[in-house]
Amino acid sequence: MIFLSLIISPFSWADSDAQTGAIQVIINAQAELSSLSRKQVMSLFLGRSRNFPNTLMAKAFDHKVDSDIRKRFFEALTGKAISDIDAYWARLRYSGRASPPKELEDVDAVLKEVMNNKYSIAYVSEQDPETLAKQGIVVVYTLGSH
Amino acid sequence: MKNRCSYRHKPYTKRISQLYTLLIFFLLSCFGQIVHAQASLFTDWELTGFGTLGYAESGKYDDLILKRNITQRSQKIEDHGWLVDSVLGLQVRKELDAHFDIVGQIVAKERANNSFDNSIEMAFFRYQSDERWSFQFGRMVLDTFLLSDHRDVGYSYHSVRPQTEFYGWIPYSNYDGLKVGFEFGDFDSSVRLEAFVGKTKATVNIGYNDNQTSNNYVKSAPIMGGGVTWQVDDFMLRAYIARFRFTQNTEAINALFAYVEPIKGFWPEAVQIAEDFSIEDAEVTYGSIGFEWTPGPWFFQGEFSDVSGDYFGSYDGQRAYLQVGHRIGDFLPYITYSYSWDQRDFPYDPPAPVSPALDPTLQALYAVLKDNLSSGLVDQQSISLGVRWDLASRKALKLQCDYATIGDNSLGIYPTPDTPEVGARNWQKDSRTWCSATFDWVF
Repeated sequence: MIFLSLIISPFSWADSDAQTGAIQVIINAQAELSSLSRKQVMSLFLGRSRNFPNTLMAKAFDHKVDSDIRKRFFEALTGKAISDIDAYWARLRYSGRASPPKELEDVDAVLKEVMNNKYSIAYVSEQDPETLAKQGIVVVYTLGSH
Repeated sequence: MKNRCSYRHKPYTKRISQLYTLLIFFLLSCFGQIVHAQASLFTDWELTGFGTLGYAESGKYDDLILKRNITQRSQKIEDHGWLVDSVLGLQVRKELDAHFDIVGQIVAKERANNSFDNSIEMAFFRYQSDERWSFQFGRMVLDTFLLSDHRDVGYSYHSVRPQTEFYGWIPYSNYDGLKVGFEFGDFDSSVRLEAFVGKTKATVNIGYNDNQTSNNYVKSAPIMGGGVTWQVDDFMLRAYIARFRFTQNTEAINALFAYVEPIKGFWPEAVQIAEDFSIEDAEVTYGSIGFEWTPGPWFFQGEFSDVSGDYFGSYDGQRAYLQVGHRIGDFLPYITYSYSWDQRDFPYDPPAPVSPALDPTLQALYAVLKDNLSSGLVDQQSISLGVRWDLASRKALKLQCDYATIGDNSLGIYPTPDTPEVGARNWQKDSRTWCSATFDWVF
């Protein structure tokens, strides 16, 4: 019964109203970093590194697993299909090696987490850097363009 | 002649047990303190899982059965093709703080011995002291090969099942013990060193029958090893070496000893053969090196392993495979070639004539003993063609057909149901084709 209900649970197709535009990688200003390279962002979001380049501990946060921004972010960052990224995380998670970044409910939750947690790193669709700065958030890498 | 029934490793085993007891006490003490310190111990648990619903043409042929590995029951698999690859797993994880976490995983699948204890694949406690050192204690999955630590999670790899020639013989999936990891590197590349020690057990179904002597309980202590994983961009290399010691003989070997005892006066070498089949206190060493390279849409994966044992009944040979795939949108077609060499032979002469009344019995026993080796030989190769279709978020459908050529007397993974009560099976080199489909998901 459990087996059956898990199989026939609603299929989660990606959002049809896909967004476009740049994606900003953000951290808390207290992390004292002004930029990251693509390779560094990739390492932090794929669980290959636990620390920022300045050795401060880093904790990545993610959007909902079926969200369009997550798909766009990982595909642009890694050049891989999102299903390959999900398979990669399945391998790490179910071998007990590591867990994927914690999913947050929406962009407000992401901004709130980064604002309050100096170890956090996350990504959002393009925002005004000055507005973010007023909240203690720094854009350290930008993926894509208008 | 080595006395296999001796207990020369008992003191060593006892010391290991005492060490476990001390460590359990120490870690439980630490855990108790953490429980007190954590007001939110019963909240924020990650509950996730994975599943595979599959069907394989396991009973397609009258003379050979497709099996995923030797822990599955041949007769059950023959009659129920959906059991070959179907799996359901649940995992819980709790991050106690930045340094401590606990992980548990339970897996339901076809096994010769499907007890609750055997269903627990992971139940460990981890202490990450800093960004470099980690210490794990409890039940952990064996990660000596590229896929061995997640081989139940179909969604995490591209083929329908890990290559049978390479993974089908492995009796153990987890161990109870300790693991230490050390990582270093930078954002360009990283190196992880690991070492582990523990004990493990499994029940394997050798041959076709589903009885006491076919379902062999195997237990090893200690099992220990170490390895290195190097990751740079899209390339990953892992090398591992491990060694384990069987603690006791199986029911089948004990039955063999009982069978040859009355005839040792007529055929002394029969006792020698039985002792050479004995696994008690025997040690097996296996080493492996594997890589994964994913440049753009391409996918390359390969492994080579060498297994050698210090006794006749052991696996002894090399295994290798290479898989190439290319992603085209939601589809990933792939091809795999895998090979298993087995170097063992039966180095005994038939019994010398004794009397016309006894000779047929002795010759029949010789044939059975010689045939017994076939239950462990893995001398085969396969070409597999398949496609993975990622039809929805975290859901994949896979189709795969295998063309396998099984060498003379090689019945170590794919058994024949024609096993006679007395006499040889005489499997001659031949090829078979099976197709399988799976639906894999994680949640």
